[in-house]
Amino acid sequence: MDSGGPYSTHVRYTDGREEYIMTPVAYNPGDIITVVKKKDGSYVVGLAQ
Amino acid sequence: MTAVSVYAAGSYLVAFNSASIKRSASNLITTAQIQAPLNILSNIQADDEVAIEVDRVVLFHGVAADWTLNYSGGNTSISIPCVDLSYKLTHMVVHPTDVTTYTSGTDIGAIIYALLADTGIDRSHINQATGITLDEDYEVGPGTMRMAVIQDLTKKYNSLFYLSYGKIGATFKTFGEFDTYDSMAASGEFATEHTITDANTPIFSLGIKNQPDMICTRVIVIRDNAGVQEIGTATAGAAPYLDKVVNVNVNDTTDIDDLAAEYLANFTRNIAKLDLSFHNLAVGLFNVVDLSAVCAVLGVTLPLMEFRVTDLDYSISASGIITKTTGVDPDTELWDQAVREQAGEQTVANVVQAEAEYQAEEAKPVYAVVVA
Repeated sequence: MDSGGPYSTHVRYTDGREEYIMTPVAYNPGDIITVVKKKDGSYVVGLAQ
Repeated sequence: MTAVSVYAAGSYLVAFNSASIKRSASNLITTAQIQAPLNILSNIQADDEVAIEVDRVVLFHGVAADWTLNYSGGNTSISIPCVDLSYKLTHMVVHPTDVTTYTSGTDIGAIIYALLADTGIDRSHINQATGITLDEDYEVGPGTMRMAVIQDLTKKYNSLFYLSYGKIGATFKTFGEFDTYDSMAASGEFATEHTITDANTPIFSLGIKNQPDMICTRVIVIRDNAGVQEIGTATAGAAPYLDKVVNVNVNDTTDIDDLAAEYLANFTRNIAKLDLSFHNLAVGLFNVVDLSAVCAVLGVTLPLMEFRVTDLDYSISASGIITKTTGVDPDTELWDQAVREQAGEQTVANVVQAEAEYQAEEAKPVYAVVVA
């Protein structure tokens, strides 16, 4: 995991939906992450494993 | 002498210990609490009509909720929390089983009018022809509460809906108030002004504080239309700027730079906030209080002498009323959610708590896999 973002991370949700979200760190393909969408439109992203 | 009366379940109470009302521009739901000796209130049931009147001004009209019985010092008393008719809007669905579609071109006022049907809220103050129309079909899913639709529409189309109370003959009324902000600001509660002097209204405390969050010298407005971002900015003074970023609704087709200028004006107007506590004057929500008379007595000049009331906390006893209020510059356009929240009782603690509750209730984490 590298820092120095923001990075545009391409994610796929369990329901098949895909989107790009801005993350402060770079994640590796295959990483399982948790995404919390906040009311103000921002995200909280964490590594699930 | 201030005339205070409490009406509950069909008659005026001959005695009550105290009553309190909380009302805020940032929250559509107004609540009240009445304390009285047990024998007075024992006949009151949930959903019974309740009203509180001070000097013939109706400060609260709603229904009783559950009650609590207290016993202390040999006396039994009962306290009854009450809620206004916004309760009906948060507990009545638009349609139980079907999707309701409002077609493009329908006036927002006509939709609000329809949503208030059978709630007991008087609809005569709803402007059904505001000229603000749906720019696309608007679908409401089965089981959606009416309040959610009203809040969504007013937010999307920058308008304001609230409830006011009144009396026609001997009948207490709750009015739904809806119109464009410009029409609203010119009439009714918005145009009612109270001059506060230390002679007519003993003042307990008066404080004015600024709202640092709202002080910004540059507003950056972003309108995101399916990934295409349109950005407008407005600035005051010279760089370096203090920035505030606002995401505007894609349906709002106003020129993006005009919007930025409008937001900047609105945010900077809101920097002074009034805290005032006084006796024996029944001030209503959105009324204007004029402090110039009391300031003349005190020998002080304030940057702003008039404030629009955005929060109210009444403590009422049989002998009078103490009103605690907060206010903002009357020119502030309260249709903007951010301004209204700032104007209302959104302290840091409240915001943190609200955010935590939201996270717990709605913003549950979803799992995702990172793909290349």
